[in-house]
Amino acid sequence: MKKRFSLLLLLLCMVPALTGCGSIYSNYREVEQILAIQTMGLDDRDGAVRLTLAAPSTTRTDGSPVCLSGTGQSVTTAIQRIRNYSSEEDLFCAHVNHVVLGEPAARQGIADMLIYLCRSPEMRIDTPLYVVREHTAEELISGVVRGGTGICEVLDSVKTSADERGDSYVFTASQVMRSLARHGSALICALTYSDSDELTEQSAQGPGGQGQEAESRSPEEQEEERGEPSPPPEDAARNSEEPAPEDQAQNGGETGPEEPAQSPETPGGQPTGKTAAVTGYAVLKGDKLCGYIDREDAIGANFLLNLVGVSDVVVPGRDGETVTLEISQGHTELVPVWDEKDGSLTGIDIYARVSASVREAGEDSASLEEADYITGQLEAAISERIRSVLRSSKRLQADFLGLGDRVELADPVRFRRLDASFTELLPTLTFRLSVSGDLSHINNLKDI
Amino acid sequence: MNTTHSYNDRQLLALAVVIFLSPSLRLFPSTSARLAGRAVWLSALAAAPVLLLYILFLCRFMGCRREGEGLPELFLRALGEKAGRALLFAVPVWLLLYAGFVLRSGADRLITTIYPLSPPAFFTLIMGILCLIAALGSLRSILRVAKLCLPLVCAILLLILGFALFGIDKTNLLPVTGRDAVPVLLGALPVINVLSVAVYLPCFAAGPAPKGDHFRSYAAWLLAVCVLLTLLCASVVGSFGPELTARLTRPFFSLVRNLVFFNSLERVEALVVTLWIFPDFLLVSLLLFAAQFCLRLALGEKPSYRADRRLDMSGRRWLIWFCAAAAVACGLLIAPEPEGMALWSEKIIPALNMCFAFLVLPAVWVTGKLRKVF
Repeated sequence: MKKRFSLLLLLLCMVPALTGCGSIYSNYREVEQILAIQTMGLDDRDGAVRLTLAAPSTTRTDGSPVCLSGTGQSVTTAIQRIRNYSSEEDLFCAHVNHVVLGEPAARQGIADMLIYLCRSPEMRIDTPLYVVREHTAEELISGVVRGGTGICEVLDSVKTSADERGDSYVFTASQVMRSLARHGSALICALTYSDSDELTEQSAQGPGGQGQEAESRSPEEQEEERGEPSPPPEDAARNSEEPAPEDQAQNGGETGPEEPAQSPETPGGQPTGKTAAVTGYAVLKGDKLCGYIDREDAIGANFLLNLVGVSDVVVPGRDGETVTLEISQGHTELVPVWDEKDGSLTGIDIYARVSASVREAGEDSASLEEADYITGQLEAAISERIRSVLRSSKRLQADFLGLGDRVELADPVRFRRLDASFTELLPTLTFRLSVSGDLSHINNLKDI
Repeated sequence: MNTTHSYNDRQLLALAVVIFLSPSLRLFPSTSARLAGRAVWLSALAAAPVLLLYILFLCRFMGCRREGEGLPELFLRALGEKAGRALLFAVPVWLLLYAGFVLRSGADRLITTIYPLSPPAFFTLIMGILCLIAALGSLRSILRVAKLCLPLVCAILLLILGFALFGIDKTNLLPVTGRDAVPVLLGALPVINVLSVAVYLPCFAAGPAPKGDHFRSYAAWLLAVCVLLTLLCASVVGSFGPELTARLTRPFFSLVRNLVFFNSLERVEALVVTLWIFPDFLLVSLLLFAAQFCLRLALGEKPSYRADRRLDMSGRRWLIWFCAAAAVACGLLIAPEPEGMALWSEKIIPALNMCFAFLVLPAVWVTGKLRKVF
C-alpha cells in the first residue's frame, strides 16, 4: 500500500513537467507560432554575415512567401538580430532544406559558413548547397517570386529536377567539406537568377548556343578573353535593372538599416517574374570560388564523377538536321599510366561509356548508316564535354572531380609512393580519353 | 559478496552490451578516425585480439574466486587486509569520477544534439537521482533493465545502420594497404578503452559463477560487438569521410539527423539521442553500485547484492546516497565550460581507465599469485 502510494506520489510529481508550460526547461511551442525556415542565404557584407531566411508561402494565411534579412558578426548573431527585430513568429531553422551562398561571399571564402552548418545543433550536415552566380543570395531569395510561390518552392523543384537529370547534381554541405578537406577543391551546384522568360530563351537556344557559351566562362575567363577586367559581382548586381537589396528592403517597409527586410514583392504587390535555375557547377579551390562549369559541360563532370543521369544532347544528323538524344546511362573507368622507371604518374586513360536513345531526328534515323553517324556524334559530344572539364581541372590545378581518389583506388601502393600530391601533379598529367557510345533505342515511327 | 546468483552470464552480457554503447559513441569513430584515417573501420576488428587476451585474463582472474566472492573480495584476498582495504577505498574514487563524467557526458550529448540552450546541471542532477534510485535497489533490477533495453537499443541501432549503409561512398573507406596497419592499430586504442570498461565493470556485479568456462561466451560477445562497431564505423565514415568524421564531435548523431526514412520520416535524432539515456542510466547505476559496495566492504560491512529496502540505512547504506552525491558533484564540476569536455573525454578519463584496466587489475592478480592466495 505504501509502495503504491509512493509510486502515485512520484507520478503526480512528474505531471507538472509534462504540461510544457512555465519552465525554462520547456521549449514547447504551438505549431502556429513557429515560422519554419526552409531556405537560408549567406552573404558577406563588409566582413560581416548578411543572412537571409525564407519560409514557404504555405506558412502565411495570405499565401505570400516570407523573407527576412539581417546582418551580424556571425550566422548565429545574424539569426538573433532577425529574431529580435522581426515581428514574425518564432524562427525554426531545423528544417532548412537549401542554403544559398552569394557569389561575392563565395569568392571571399565559405569555410566559416560550412563550419556553422556542421556545428549547428539545428541544421543538417547534408543540407544542399548552392552558389548564385553573379548575384548575392539575398537578391535571389528576396527576388524570386512567381505567382504565389517563392524561393523555397522554386529550389524544391530545382533539387528534384537536379536529382533526376544528368547535367546537374546538388552537393551537400558534408560532401563539400569532405571534398575540400581531401582534395582542396569542391563543386557546388550553381544557380542563375534572372527573368523567367530570359531563362526560357536561353534554354530555347539549346546546348552550345551563344547565350549558353557566354555563361560557360567564369568571370576570369571572360576577362581574359575580352582583355578587360570584369566588374566585380557587387557591381554586376548594382548595374542590373533590379533594385539592390537595400532598396528592396526599403520597399518592404524596413524601419532601420539592420532590421530584417521583408521584400518578397515589388511595389504594388506584383510578382517580379524572376526565378532561379541550375546553371552548372561553381568550382571552389581552398574555400574560395574560383570559377564555373557551365551546364553543358556539367554532363562531362558528371561522367567523371559517375553521376550520370537522364540528360539531353543535341547533335547534328548526317544531313545537317538536328538530332536530340537522351542519355540514359553512362560511366567512366580510369586507368592510371605509370612511368615504369621512376614510378611516377604520367597520365590517366579514361574510358567512358554512354548509352542514349534518339528522341527527335530525321525520317531515316532507323538506317544503320544514320545510327552509326549519330553514335559517332554522340561520342564526340561527350568526349568534348569531358575534355572541357578536364581542361578546367588542369588549368585551375584543382581536383574537384576526385580523380585522385579514383587513381588511388586503382593502384594504392604506387599512389602513396608519389613524391608530390595529386593536385600538384594534375597540370602535368596526360589524359587519354576513349568514349564508346551506343543507341539503346531509335524511337522510330515503325517501332510505335 | 553473496554469489547465490539469481542472474546469469546472459544477463551480464546484455548489461555489457548496453553499457558499452554509452562511451562508444563518444570516442568512436571520431577519435579513431583522427588516428587511423580512411582505414578506421578496421580499428574495431584490430582491437579484438587484444581484448580477447584481456577477457582471457579476466576469466582467469575471476576464476580464482571462492564461493561468495566477487571482484572487491578478490582485491582484499589478493592484497591482504591493509593494502586490500586501501585499494577498496581508492577504486570508488575512480568509479565515482567516471560516473560523474558519464553524467556530464550524457548531459553534453543532450545539449549538443537537442537542447542547445540548456544548462548541463539539470540533466546531470536528474540522471543522478534516477541512478540513485536504481543503486538503492537490487542489482538484479539493473540487470533486468539491461535485458529489457537491449533489444530496443539494438533494433534501433541496426535500423539506422541498415539505412545508413545504403548511402556510403566506397572512396571514403577504400583503398586500404599495408601502410595503414600502424594507423589502424592506433585507431584501435579508443576501441580497447571503451570495450575494456564494458568487460571489467560487470565483474563488480559478482561476475560469472566461479565454475565453468565463460571465455567462449565472452569471446563470442566480443566478436559480435566488434562487428557492430565495424558496421557503425563503416556507415559513419563511409558517409562523411574520415576527414569530416574526425572533425565532428558526435558523427553518429549527425548521421542520424541526416537520415530520411522512406522519403517521409526524418529528424528522428531526438528519439535516438533520448534512447541513449538507457546506456547512461545503466552504466552510472552499475558504477554507483560497485563504488558503494567497495566502500562498505572496506569499512568492514558485508554488503549484499540482494534487494534491501530502498530507504534502509543499516549496514552503512547511507554510503549509496553519498556515492550518488559524489558522482553528481563530479558531474557538475567536470568541464563546467564545454571546451573542457574534449580534455576529459579524450585524455583524462581514457588514461585513468587504461591504468585501472591494464595496470591495477593485472597487478592485483599478479600479487595474488605471488602471495599464493589464488
